[in-house]
Amino acid sequence: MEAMFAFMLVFMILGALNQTLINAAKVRQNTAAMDQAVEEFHALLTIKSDIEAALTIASPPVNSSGSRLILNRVNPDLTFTDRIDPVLGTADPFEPSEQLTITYEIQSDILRRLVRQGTASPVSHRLIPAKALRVERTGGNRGLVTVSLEIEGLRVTKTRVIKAAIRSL
Amino acid sequence: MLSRPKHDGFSLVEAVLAAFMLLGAILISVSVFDRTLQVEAGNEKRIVAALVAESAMAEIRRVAGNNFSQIKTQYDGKTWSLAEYPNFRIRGTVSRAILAVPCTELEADYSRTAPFPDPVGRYLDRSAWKVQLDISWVDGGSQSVRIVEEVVNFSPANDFSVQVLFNGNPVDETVTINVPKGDTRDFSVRARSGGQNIEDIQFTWHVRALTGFGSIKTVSRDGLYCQYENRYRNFKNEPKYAPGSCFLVVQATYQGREAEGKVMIENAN
Repeated sequence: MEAMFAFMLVFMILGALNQTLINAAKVRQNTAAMDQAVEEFHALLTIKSDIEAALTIASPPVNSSGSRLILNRVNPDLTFTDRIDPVLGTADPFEPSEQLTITYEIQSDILRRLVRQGTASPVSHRLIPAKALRVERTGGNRGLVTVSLEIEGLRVTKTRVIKAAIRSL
Repeated sequence: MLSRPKHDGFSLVEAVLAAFMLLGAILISVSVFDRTLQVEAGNEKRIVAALVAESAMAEIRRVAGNNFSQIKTQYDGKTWSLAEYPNFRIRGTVSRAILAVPCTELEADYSRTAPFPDPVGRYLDRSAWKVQLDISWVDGGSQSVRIVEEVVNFSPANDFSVQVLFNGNPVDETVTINVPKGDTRDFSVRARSGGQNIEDIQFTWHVRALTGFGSIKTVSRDGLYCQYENRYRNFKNEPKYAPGSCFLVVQATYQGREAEGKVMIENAN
């Protein structure tokens, strides 16, 4: 009788221990998924921020879609006083030399942000691992840009989407 | 002397007690892990909800560029979902946004609403909508994500124009308004761009003499209303008359572009 009781207790303890270990593994997995979700969120908001600051969007054209986003924006590192300083250039605050060409594309399953100033070689920012990038422009010249990012998660492939309104063109 | 028999090890009661304590500790840790899992699942939903909120706000910003005045009727109290995120529900609340004015204390001295020509406080409350979006999701319980933004019309004013209104109808320089001697006429003004009214901008009025002229008797503090008078006063503050025609001109500047509207006035003798 005592042995039976002891066995039951031992099995209960082992069962609970097993459940704890399974949950611990799940927590670890979820933490990794959360990290990935935060990185996806950051990448999509970076794209949105660039779209909203864009002076022109070169690709994709109006009312079409593509796998690459190319836009021009003012170099945010330059102050406005520098941009209108005739000594450093002309008084025009939108000179080509004060603009950046930013390209988002997938290279070797990595979403990259390529920043080019003038004719210099582009600086490549590695954002997140992603399978595909789709950029769609709707609603005419001042419409919406819908960015879809296909990301291979820990268990399933997810598609994250963000929309941005074009403010100036 | 008899010695008591010595028993090594634990009794059954002690073993059971120890086992239950161990079990209790493990159950607590299980419940902690379980709660952690629930919270983590909720956190990921909250991140996605933030993407949904940003996307929905982008749509509203786009509508602001095409049909700014319709944002309240289109989105206030509306509940909808984006095709890309069908499990997330968006609820919009739209109200007037009152933007900062240079001196709130000064404006507060004036009545909020009064019939022209009584002066009213000048508030910038027609050029922005305060849009609040609440995002909730399936299995989210009472959780939600809220973002609030003051949405304005960012469309470039390529065709900015100013129109004089007489009795509420637009008039231009081809229209002549006859004003009897010593009499007054009330005018108002509106600015247009991209087929929409442009609100909260400052208008300035003046009289451009041709063969005669009158004067501006009163202008509302925001410049939206003007009272023209077929009379003027000289430096001695004596009323004088200059019969003939003149233009009543109103000007405004928006996005660095100047525009003027005018109407022909015939000052009767």
